[in-house]
Amino acid sequence: MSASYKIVDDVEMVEVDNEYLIIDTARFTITKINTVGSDIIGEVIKNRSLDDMVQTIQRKYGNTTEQVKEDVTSFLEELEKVGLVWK
Amino acid sequence: MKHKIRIGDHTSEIRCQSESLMRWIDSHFQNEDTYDATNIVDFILDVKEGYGTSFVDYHVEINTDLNHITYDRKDYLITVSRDYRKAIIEVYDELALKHALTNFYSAFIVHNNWGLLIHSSCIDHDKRAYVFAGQSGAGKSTISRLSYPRPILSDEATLIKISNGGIRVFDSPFRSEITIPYTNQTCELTKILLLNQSKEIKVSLVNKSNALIHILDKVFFWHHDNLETAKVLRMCLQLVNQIPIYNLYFQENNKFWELIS
Repeated sequence: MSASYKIVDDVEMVEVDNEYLIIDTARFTITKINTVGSDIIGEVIKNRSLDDMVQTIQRKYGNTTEQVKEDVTSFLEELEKVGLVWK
Repeated sequence: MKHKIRIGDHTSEIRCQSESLMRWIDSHFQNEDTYDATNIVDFILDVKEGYGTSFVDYHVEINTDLNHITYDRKDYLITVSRDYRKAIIEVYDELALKHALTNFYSAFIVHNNWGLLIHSSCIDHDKRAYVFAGQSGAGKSTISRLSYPRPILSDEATLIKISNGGIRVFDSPFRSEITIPYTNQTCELTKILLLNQSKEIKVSLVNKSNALIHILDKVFFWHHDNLETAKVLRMCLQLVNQIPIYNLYFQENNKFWELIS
């Protein structure tokens, strides 16, 4: 089974004029993400595995499985670096 | 000694044994005309002198227990009840008192979902409030001076009431240089302008997500509790959803008023 990510507690995702912000109320930080990023976060919140996330994103936005997996992994690694998700 | 003062639409009872500190409070805050002990006040402050050392830096240590929250800086200590209705404010001097009152009142209005104190100046132009936001050195005081004789609601910390009925600015007693009070008390907020000193004068609309980031960065708020932080977030969201926010590029003259009003 592929890895799954968890989102940290005390985080709110808000949509403002079709843009998305992840607000960490514990550390008072804001991270701005795009629509695809918000879909990935939605999958993380649902505790989906990386493979399931990739399938969902691929169905919605197209592209090859390898490319989508690389993009999703890269995005989640960035969020991990700023402390918003963990494996 | 005890006096009653008004901040925003709140009434406070201030108790203080120090004549010099009470004089400072009387000269910077709007006194209620008559003191009636039977009137309900929104919060009670016990102000004491003799605490700590002179100003060192802005770092505030916050601790909580079951009944109290403490805000501890080298030159002041605030011990506030969990419902924010009573606080003991111990200070080194008048500067510490000013900062401690800003700290307390900011926490009080957030706790009550009343509104926000924003690092900005605010001018009344034709009975409409314009907020000019920026960090230290951005030009808030300059804008206030250049806007004379328009009335000034704030030159450092703008007091914004956020409610479903609208967004209004109140006269702020938390002043930097210009201490002339705003006699109309309150004014409807029209625009927020983010200050950028420039060789040309222009304005550009800021999209709401960037506006939210800018506003959150300029709120006077000492983070210690996720629930309180979430309140700040919700009020900032309400603010950017209701009020347009612009970048203002300005020169050191008053021509920007032709562009924004």
